Amino acid sequence: MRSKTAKTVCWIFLALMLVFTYLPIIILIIFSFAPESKAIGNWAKITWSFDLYAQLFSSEEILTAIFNTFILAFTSSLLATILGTVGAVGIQQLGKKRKMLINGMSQITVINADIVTGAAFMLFFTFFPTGFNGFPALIIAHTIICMPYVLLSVMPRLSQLNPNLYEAGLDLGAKPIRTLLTVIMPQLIPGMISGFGLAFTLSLDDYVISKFINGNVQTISTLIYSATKKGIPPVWRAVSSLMFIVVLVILIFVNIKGKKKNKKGGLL
Amino acid sequence: MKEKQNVKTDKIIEVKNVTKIFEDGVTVIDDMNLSIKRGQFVTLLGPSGCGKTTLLRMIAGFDTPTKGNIYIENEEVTNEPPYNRPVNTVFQKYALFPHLNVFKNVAFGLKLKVIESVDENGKKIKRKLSKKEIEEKVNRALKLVDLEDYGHRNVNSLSGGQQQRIAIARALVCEPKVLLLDEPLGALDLKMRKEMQIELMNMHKNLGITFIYVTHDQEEALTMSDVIVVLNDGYIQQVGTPKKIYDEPANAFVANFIGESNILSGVMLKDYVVKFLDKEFECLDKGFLKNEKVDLVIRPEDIKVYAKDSGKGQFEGVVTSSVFKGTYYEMNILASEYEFTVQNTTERKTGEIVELKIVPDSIHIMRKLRTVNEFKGVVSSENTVSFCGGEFEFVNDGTHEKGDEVNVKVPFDGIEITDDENDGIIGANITQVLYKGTYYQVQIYSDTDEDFYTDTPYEWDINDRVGIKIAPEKITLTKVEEEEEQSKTSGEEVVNEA
Amino acid sequence: MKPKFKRTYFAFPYALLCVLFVVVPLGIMLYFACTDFEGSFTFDNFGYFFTESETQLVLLKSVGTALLATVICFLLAYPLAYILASSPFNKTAILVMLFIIPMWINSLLRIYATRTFFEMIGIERGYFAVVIGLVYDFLPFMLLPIYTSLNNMDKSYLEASYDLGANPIASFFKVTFPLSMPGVVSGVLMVFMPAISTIGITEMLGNKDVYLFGNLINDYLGEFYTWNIGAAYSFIMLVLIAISMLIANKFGNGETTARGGTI
Repeated sequence: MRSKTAKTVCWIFLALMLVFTYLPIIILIIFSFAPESKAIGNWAKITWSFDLYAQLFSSEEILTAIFNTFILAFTSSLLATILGTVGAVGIQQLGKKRKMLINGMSQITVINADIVTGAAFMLFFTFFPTGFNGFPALIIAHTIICMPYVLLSVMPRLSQLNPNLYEAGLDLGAKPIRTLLTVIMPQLIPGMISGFGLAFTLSLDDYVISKFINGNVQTISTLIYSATKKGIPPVWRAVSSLMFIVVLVILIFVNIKGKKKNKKGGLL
Repeated sequence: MKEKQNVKTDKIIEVKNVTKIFEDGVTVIDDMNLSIKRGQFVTLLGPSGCGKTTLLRMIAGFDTPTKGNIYIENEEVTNEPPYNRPVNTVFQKYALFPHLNVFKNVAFGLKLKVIESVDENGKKIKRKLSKKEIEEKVNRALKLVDLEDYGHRNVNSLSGGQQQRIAIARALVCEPKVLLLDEPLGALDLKMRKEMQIELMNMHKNLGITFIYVTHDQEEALTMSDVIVVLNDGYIQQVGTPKKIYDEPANAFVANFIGESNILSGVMLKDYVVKFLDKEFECLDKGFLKNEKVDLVIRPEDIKVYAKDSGKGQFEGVVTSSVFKGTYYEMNILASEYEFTVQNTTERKTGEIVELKIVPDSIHIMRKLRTVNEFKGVVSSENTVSFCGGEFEFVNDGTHEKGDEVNVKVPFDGIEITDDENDGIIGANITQVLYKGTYYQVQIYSDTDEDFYTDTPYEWDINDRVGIKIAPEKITLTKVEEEEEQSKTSGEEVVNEA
Repeated sequence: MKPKFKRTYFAFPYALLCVLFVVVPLGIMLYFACTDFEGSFTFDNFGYFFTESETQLVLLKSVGTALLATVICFLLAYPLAYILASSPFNKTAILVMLFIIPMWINSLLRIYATRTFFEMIGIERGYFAVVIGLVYDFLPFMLLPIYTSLNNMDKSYLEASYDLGANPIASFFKVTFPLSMPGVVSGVLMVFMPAISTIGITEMLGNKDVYLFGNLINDYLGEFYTWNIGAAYSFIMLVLIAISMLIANKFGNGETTARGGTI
C-alpha cells in the first residue's frame, strides 16, 4: 500500500464488510433477549428478559431437535472419518484408473446439488424397503455426503508419508489391520481431525437432504425450515444465538489448540 | 558352486523361475533363478529400474511374483505375507515410525513376537515376550548400533546417520534369518556412508546372519560383498565375487557398469588370438567359434604407456587429454579410431604421441550379448509387418501372407534412430549407450516394452526421446514354426547365469 | 495358495458404499425420471420441461439469479481477498478468520438472522432480499479460494513484472489476476452451484413471486404422484451442474474441485 489514503480506504472497506457479515448475527443475539417485539425495531418499547431462553429449554420439540442434530452430526462424522481414512489408505495404493473411478464416484456428492442428492436418497429409500427409515437413513446419508471431505483432508498427508511405513509395520510382524491402527493412523490424526470437523459442520448445516429423508426425526435445520411458511416463532432467536455461540467457542478452541500443536493445524 | 551336495543344505534363499510383471504391463524381472548361501553378504547391484529392489521386495513379501517361487530355508514363502517371514528389512528412507520414540520403534517388532518356551511344569507353551525381556533386547540392539542412551529420544530429532542406525537396530532386534537392506546408505553423505559401510561389514561378521544388500553404487558393492549379483533389464547378468566380477566381467554391460573400462568389438581369429583395431593380440581366452564376433574389455590401469619410438609398445596413440586424479593421471589416448581411457602414474602431455601395450593377461574376452534384434510380429499387408506397436515395410519374397505370425530379425546396423520421434515409425527412449571404439552401441526401449539395439556413429543421450526407422531390406522374416528351435537357444544366451 | 491381503483392499468398503449409496440412488432416480406414475417407460417427464415455456423461464431465472449473486460476490470478495493478502493486513490470520467463520455456522440460521435483520431495517421480502441473502450466505465461499490463491502466490512474479517495466495496474491485470484464476474459478463454482439449486433462501427471504428451479423440484418431489417429474427435473439440474463444472475446468486448468477442495 503506497499512500495513507489508500490504506484508509482499505480499512473502511474491511470494516464495512465486517459489519455486513456480523451485523445480522449481532442484532439477532441482542433481540434474543427481547421476547415481545414481534416486528423488531421499536427499541423504546422493548422489555429485556431471558424469556426466549426459558421457552427454548421448556420446549421438548426444540430440545429433541438439538439433541438429534448433534447425535446425527457426531455419529455420521465419526463413521465418515473412519470410512474415509481407511478408504484413503487403500485408495492411495490403487492404480490410476481405479483411483480415478473411486474418486469420481465420491466427487459426485461433493459437486452435486443437495436437492438432487436428497431426491436420489429419498427415491432410493422408498424404492428399496430397506427398513432404514428415520434416524438410520439419516445417518447413512450424512455419512455418505461427509466421507469425501474426510478423504480430501486425509489424502495430502497420506501422500507425504514415507511409502515404506506400512511395509515396515508388516515387516516387523504386525498384520495389516494392526499396522493400519498402530502405524498409519497415528500419522493421519491432524487430517482426521480436520476431516471430522468438516464433516461435523457439513452435517450440522444440512437441511435439504435431511428434509427429503426424514420421516419424523426433526433436526434444528428441518424444524426451522418447516416453520418458515407459518412464520418463525421468536424462540428461534434464542436457538440461533445459542448455536452461533457454540460454534464460535468450538472454532476458537480448535484453532488455539491447533496453533499450539503445530502451526498448520486448526480448521483453516 | 563346485560342491553341489553342500550347496543344497547351505541355501537360505532360493528364487526359482521368478517373473514379475507390474500392473502396467512392464516386466521388471524375467524368469530369474538365484540362490543365496547362508551367512553371506550378497549385494544386488544394477542401475535404477533393473529389478533389484523388486527382487528384494519379493523376498521381503511386499510384492508377489507373477510367476515362480521363492523359498526361505527350503520352505516356500511365495505367497506368505511379510509378517510371517523370518526376514526383516532396512528401508531406503529408514521408515521409522514418527509417532514413536527410539525405544518404542525398536521394541515394535518384539511386542508382536510370539516365542516358544517352557512353563514351570516343563510344558511347551507359546507366549509373548515379557516387558523385561523386551527392554533387555532393545537395549542390547541400541548398544550394537552405539545409541544406547537414545531410547527416549524423538526419532525426528536424530541425524540421518542416527536414524539409519535405529532402523538397523529395529530390524536386527527381531533376530531375522536374513537382513534385507534396500539402498540403506543412499541418503547419507560420503563420509557417513564410508563409516556405515565398515560398521555394516563388522555387524555382518559378528552376527553371522545373511545380508542381502541392494545398491546401484558399484564401489559400495565391491567393498562390502562376499557375492555380487549384477542385474540389468530384469535379468541376472553375472553372479560372482567382487574380484571375479571386476576381472572377468561376463559381458559388456557388466564391464561397463563395474569400474572404468575400455570396451571394444573384436573378432576371435582362433584360440588365444583376438583381432581388434585391425591388429592381432594375444589373449588368454579360448573356446570361441572361429571368427566369432566378441566384446572385449581392457581396464584403464592395465594399459601400459611408453614414450614414442621406445619400441616397447604394440601400437601408437596420441594423448588427447590428461587429468591428475590424486594418485594417478587419467588420460584419453586416441589410437586408430578408438579413444582409450588410461590410468598411469607418469604424466604425458596432451598432444604427445605415445606407444601403448596391452598384455594378454589384461584382455578379457566376452560373448556378445546379442548380435541381432529379434521380435515377434504379424504380417499386416502384402509389404508391411507389424511389431512393437508399429507398421514396418519389408521386402516380401512372396512367401508371407497377411495374418502370418512371424519372427522378425533386424541386424544392429539396420535400425535407424531419428531425432524427432515423429520421423520414426515408433517412438522410444534411449536407455544405454556403450562406446565401442568406432561406433556407439545404443540400446533403445520402445513403448511396447521391447529393447532395440543399434550401432551408430553418433552419440545419443540416455533418456532422449527418439523415433525408430528400419529400412525395408534390413528386415528378415521367418515363420514362427520354423524358428522355434532356434529362438529357444538364442533366448538362453541372454541370461548369463553363473 | 491363500490370497494375500493387499493394502488396496482397504479401499473396498469406501468403494462399496459409493456404489451402493451414490451410484445406485442416481440410477434409481433415472429410473423414476424415465417412467410414469404407473411404472411404464416414458420420456414424457423430460418432455414437460421442453414443452412448458413457464418451466424453462423458471430455470432461466434461476441461472440468472445465481449468476447475479456470483458476480456480486466476486466484486466484493476479490478486493477483500486482495486487501487481506497484501502487506499491512496479512500479518495475522485473525482478520481472514473473521470473514471465514460464518462458513462454519448453520446457513439456515444465518439466513434467519438476515431475515430478522431485514425485517428490522424494513427491507421487504422479495427478489432483492433473496439476492442479498445469496450474497450474504455464499460470500465466504468466494473469498476463501481467492484469498488462498493470492496469498500463496510467489511475490517474485510481481517483482519480475515491475522489473520488466509494467506499472502496478498493468501488473495486476497481466500477472496477479491471471495467476489467481484457479482461486476465482473455484470460488465461482462454490457460489454458483449452491445458488442455482437453493430452496431455503428463497423460502426464507422471498415472497410468492420468487420461485426458482430448486423450489420447482422441491414442490414436485413433495407430492408422491409427481415424483417422476421431480426426478426428471433433478436430472436436468444434474446436467446443468456437470456443464458448469466442465466450463469451469476449462478456465481453471482442471485444478478445481467444488466446495471442499480449497478448505
